[in-house]
Amino acid sequence: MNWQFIMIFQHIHLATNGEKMKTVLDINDVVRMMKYVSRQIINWQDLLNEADRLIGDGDHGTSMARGFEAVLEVLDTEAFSTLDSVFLTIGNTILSAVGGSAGVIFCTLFRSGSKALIGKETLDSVCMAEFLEKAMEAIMKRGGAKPGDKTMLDALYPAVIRSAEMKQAPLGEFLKEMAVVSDQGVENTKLMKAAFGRAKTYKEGAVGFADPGAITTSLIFKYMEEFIASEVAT
Amino acid sequence: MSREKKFINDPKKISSEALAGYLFATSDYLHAEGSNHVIVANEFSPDKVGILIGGGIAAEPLFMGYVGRNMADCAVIGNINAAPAPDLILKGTQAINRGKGVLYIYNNYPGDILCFDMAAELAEEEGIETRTVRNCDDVGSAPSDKRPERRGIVGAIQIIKVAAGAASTSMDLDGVFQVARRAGEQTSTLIVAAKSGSYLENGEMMFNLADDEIEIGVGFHGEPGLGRQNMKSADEIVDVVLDTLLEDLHCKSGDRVAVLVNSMGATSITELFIINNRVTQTLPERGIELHRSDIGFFYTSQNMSGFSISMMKLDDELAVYYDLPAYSFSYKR
Repeated sequence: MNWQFIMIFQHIHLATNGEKMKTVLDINDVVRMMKYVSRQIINWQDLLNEADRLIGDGDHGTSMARGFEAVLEVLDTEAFSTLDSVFLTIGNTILSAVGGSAGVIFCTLFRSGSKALIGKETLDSVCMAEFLEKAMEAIMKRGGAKPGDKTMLDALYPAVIRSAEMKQAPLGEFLKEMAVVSDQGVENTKLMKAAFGRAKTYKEGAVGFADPGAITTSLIFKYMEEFIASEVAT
Repeated sequence: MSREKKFINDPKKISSEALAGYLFATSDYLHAEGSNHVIVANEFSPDKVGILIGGGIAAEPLFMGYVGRNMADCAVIGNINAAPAPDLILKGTQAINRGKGVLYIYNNYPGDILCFDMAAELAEEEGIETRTVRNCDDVGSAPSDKRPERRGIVGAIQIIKVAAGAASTSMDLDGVFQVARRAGEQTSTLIVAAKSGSYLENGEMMFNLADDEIEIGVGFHGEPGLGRQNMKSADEIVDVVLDTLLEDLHCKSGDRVAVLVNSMGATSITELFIINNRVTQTLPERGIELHRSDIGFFYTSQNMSGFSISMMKLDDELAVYYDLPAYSFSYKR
């Protein structure tokens, strides 16, 4: 679907739903969205562990659940005046709670992404696209991985590429498209041999299984979009 | 799938309860710095380079067991199989820095590299100088010309011993770093597994080995090593391990080595004595001087049945540091 078509679609949508349609989110919305995402990732704990057991040490779900439980707690207790502080806090919280590669990489996703939102109070597709670009750059620098290495980057990279063409779309449509392309990225990791982490020791044995970090990345998009869609519906 | 029994309360509380229990037992010479994950020696001379070690929970008593006199000054411990978070490493770094900087020694895994490198950046921002030595001693994980790709396992203890010895002199950070790096380049380990250990959280077996099989060079969770073979006598297996290590370290007649004979968890101390008997007999037959061998439960993969031999090729300087008296929970001289 090209974005002009989406725009037309959105236009109709806007016309029928009026001001209920959210094209941008304020700080309160973003905090609620990230709490929703956190709860959903926590629900995926067992499935993510199962995915990791096939090619890693079987604890990715536990790690993510530990991280997002801490995020839920901090989002419940802290007040935020800008969006960058929301995502910076999420990143730092995951880092402290999780440790290990997953802690550092998912911390970097939010912490470096937050640099696209300095001083901002509303989230739209333009700054979300910049968020993803900054996050990807920092993750590649930090972890030394590149697309094709069977890591979370294989879900993030297609999103960054697609996001450049989606900046003018409303945030809900933008995130829906990110979820679609990153999910395709997860599928693609099944064909890859791992170049990093414990999965590497499985050599060809890792082929056929998706990378758990990529799954988590695509879930973040999926549930961000789902939150926005549910807001529209209500 | 068969599950083994584990004496735990709640899988989520394994690291916190284990660390608390450890700290109670060692409170006369160790304390926690802010968090039980940051374990610091009580006595620490004011003018020395700090030695900070760390990693995830799983291979106990590595790393917490090696903090003490003439051993590491601090161990920072993560969650199960997960490197400690950078803010914890920073806390440990601050606690042991006496203005001469801090040397990080840890096992070579991607998560540990990420966390320690990030901590080193945070420390630098605070004006604390750090250096890093990654232990890459696992011969089973990559060939000797690709040492930086090797995982780190038991040999970390030998490197910690030597580095801490160097730090106990008035040597500066670069000097201690050079000693530790040289020690690391001359240390290799092989694990021989006879039966898989089981995960602490759920008792599930980590991997499967047939009843009559062993695997030499197996990774600490059963990652594939140098191949499986039929069970043999202790002497025959030790000979294969020693020959592999000597070749890996390019040892030639007249060289001097220090050895750790370690149980992977379930192999008995009696068996370790038998293994060490062969090590002690046969190294001289191969023209190698055995400077010292230590026997114990230094590094385990839960209840894996098997043993490891770590070997450090010594020069005169490394030997001096290796021989210094030391006191820690798991290594005493």
